[in-house]
Amino acid sequence: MRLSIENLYHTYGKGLAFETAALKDVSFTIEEGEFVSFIGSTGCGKSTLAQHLNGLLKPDSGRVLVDGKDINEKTPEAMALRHRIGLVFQYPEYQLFEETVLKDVMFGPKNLGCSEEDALRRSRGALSLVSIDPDIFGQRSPFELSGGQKRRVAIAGVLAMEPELLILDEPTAGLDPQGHDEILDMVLALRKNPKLSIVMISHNMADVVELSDKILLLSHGELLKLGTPQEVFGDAELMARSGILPPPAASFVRRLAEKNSFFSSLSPALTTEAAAEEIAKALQGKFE
Amino acid sequence: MALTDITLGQYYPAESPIHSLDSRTKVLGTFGFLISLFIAKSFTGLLFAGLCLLCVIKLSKVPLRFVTRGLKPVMFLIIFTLIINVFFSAGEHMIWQWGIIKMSRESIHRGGFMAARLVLLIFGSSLLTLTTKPIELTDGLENLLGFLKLFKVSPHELAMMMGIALRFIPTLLEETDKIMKAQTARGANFETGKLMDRAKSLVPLLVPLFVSAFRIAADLAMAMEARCYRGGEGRTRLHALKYGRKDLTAGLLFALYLAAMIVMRRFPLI
Repeated sequence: MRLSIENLYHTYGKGLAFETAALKDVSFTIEEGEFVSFIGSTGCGKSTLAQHLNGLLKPDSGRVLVDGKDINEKTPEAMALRHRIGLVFQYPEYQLFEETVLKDVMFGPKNLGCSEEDALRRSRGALSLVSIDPDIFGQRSPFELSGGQKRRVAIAGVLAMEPELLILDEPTAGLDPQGHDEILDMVLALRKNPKLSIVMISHNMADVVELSDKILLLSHGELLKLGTPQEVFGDAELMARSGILPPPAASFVRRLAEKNSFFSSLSPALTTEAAAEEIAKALQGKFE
Repeated sequence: MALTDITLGQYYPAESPIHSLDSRTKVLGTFGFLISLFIAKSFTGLLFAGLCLLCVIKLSKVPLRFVTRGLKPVMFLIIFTLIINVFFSAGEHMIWQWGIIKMSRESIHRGGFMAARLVLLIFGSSLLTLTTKPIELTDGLENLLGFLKLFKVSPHELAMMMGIALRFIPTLLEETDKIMKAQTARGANFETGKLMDRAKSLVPLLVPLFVSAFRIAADLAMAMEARCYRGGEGRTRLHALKYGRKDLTAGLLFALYLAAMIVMRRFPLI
């Protein structure tokens, strides 16, 4: 699935004293199977933009196109298009409501009109994808689980709808380090599906560079840049303007190069892996 | 209209003589104004009350449309009052009659009068919440309700409960909006369907909402306890309520207004 946004505008509180332009003339395209991260400081419009991608918010002007068709038309086809896009909100565990985990995950597919067996099959599949064993946890109450488990069940609730584009709004917010790693592993596994496009909103730049094919940088409702992690984080002027700090590994390599002239020839690295490789390479040169 | 647009008890921040009045003055003034509306027996009285209220609204710098917005939820009541009075009440000078439905000069007069009074009632009370912060309002009420101590009721607890309830309205609306969106994203449908289906469709909304409400309430209780809250006994205030010269002026002006209303009751012009 190919998703395009064309000249999107959105204003909150139209005509009221607190009117604010949340999105201004945003246009971009997400290709099938691509992993795109939305980054930007708090209140820059990331969540607003995400909610436009599946038609929860309607643009004031501009269009959201799935394979060239507008998802905001008032036709059954447009509705079906919207159902191909799954959105996982911030703190999705707060949306759990059913008596058992399995029933809760089946809520989405049933709303799509799946039969009982089909919904069950999809839900078991989705739970396995998020590493929750449906045989162990399926019949338990979702309110008994740990924070990280609740969140994964909630994400499974969206995955069971088998979306072709999955939007994750800060999937790791408020979790302990272990919960964070569990979610990250889950996203890494989902990423292997070549048919599934993923959008992730995140403030954790280490996760962003680890996962993303492309990064979309927003500031005050405007799209500043859409490019590969190297293109975005390599642009020092852009980084300074947006107030985004680079991932820790990149800062580390830069500081190391400043502190010791031996490392001054290190090329910039974004991930921990790349940084380690760069340093190892430099050290190897010295000892040979 | 999104849920978050609801403006129940909304405060309109501005710097005006009305905003800076002591909240007790405003509560008493509003109360007095509501009573004065029942003193008026003629349109002259209501017109005068309306003009005075308009002056106060102008002074308060609250845009008129914010005040009139308060009418929306009670529009039905006003129209109902108007219709009942105009078409179903007795009068001498008949204009038109059809079965039990009749219209007379008196009934039109009475209907218009009742509706106008209701409108002024709403405007007067919305102006109070528009110009007074909820916390000031509850502080003022707590002070004014002090006499309740005689009946072994704690005015502090009443005021605190009211303050918390007011504080929770926007939070719960926001929470509802969020959960509704999240369930809509999972294909839930809150808008169409038969009555039973629609009632059932509320379960995915209400269960998480209750869970959230309890969670927020527990957090709030914890936060209050962590700051050693243990009721009103012996508490002092950061912003002590104090009547100032402004309040004296307001009181005098209000007395004048009330006198004028009483005079107009004795000598109605229309």
